[in-house]
Amino acid sequence: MHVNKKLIALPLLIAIVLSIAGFAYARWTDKIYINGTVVMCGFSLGFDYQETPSAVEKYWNVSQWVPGEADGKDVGSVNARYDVLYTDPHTGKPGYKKMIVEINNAYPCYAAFVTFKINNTGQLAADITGYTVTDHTGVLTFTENTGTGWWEGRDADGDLVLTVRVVNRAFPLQLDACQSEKMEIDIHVEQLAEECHTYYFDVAILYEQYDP
Amino acid sequence: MPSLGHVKDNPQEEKRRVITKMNKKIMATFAILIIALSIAGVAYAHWSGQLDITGTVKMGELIFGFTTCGSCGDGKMVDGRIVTPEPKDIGSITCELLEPETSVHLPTPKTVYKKLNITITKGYPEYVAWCNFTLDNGGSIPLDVVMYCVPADPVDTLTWRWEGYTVVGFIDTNANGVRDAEEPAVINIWFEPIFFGQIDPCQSMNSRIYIHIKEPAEMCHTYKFEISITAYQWNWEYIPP
Repeated sequence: MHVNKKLIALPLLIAIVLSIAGFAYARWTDKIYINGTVVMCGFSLGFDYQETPSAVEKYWNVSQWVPGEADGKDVGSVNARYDVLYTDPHTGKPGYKKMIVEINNAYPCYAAFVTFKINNTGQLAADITGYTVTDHTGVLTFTENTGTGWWEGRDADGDLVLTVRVVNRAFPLQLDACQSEKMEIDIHVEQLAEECHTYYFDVAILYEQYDP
Repeated sequence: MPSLGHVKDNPQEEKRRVITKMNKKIMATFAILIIALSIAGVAYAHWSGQLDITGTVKMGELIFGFTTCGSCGDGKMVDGRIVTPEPKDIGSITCELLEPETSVHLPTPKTVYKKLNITITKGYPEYVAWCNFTLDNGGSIPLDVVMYCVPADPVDTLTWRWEGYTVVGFIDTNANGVRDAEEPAVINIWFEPIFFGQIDPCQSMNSRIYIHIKEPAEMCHTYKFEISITAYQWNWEYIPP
């Protein structure tokens, strides 16, 4: 029986090739892994969930603001409440994102002082950097009077109608997680406010992470 | 999952080195890009937010006026005393309210009148007439009656000036603006009471106006007078600096 040498050589060749390849694939290897998880903290500030804002009227008597209205009258009224409830998803702490102040039957010299509380409901310290005052209707243009600290709202004629300020120790104010701070917003109706008008103001209290 | 790392040299090392070199350049470019973006990202993406306070200020209104006039009467001045009724029914007095204004703020709208018009007919020397009226607060904030005024310039033929709480009409012959001794009073007007002070919204105060025609008044003349009463918002004295 004639056996072709080539046929004998072929399996051998295959075996050699496979062994080489096998050596290459079967080389022992191993891997280790590092798995990382970064859970970001919550960052939220809000008006206090439990303590409602308190609003008082005051009038200027000789040299200071005195509670009430002149001569003990009850003419104007002020009401403040929180709105837009939220819950920080990380801490589960609730708060409000908005405060609404309503003044009725106002008159020149009428002044309302609203005390409110801001909580850091998140997990990261925040810097309250300041605030701005605007009028979404565009009737009043507010600019900050750096001398008095009041934001002055003037109408299209340039008449001073409304002044607003947020009173605090000083801005920027750092508020750690779980800390709260009481502040006050003062609204003063000026001499050139017109009868039967409705004026609007919008205050934005600005904050950012403490280490920007 | 693609991975990068060092492998032991093999026969195709040279080719791989070239490829690896190119890859390193590409990766370096990406790395620089990522670092640059991350720096920019820190600047833009640092967390911030805001809390909102929205405010509404609804203004009230100040409306001062009259709501009633009437109960007019007349008589004659005799020796400084008003004698009633008029000995002869000659003169007469009427009043009317003009120029209405209605508050839009009060739950029950209240209309007041800005003008009280008094007319005396067939007046004669020493004729005295009066009318009752009310001063009203038709607005939504208290008011303070602070001033009664007469025009500085003559009204037709008479010049009007205050002498105490009496408005005196006279002919200012020398046009010096004051009543001199030779310029007798033609008409005297006064209020009882002359009210100064606060009136709360929806409230009113009663008063009466007297008109006394004096001896120098001339026949067939028509005399006119005008008195304005001014009220401020009640807290006008409490103005902060």
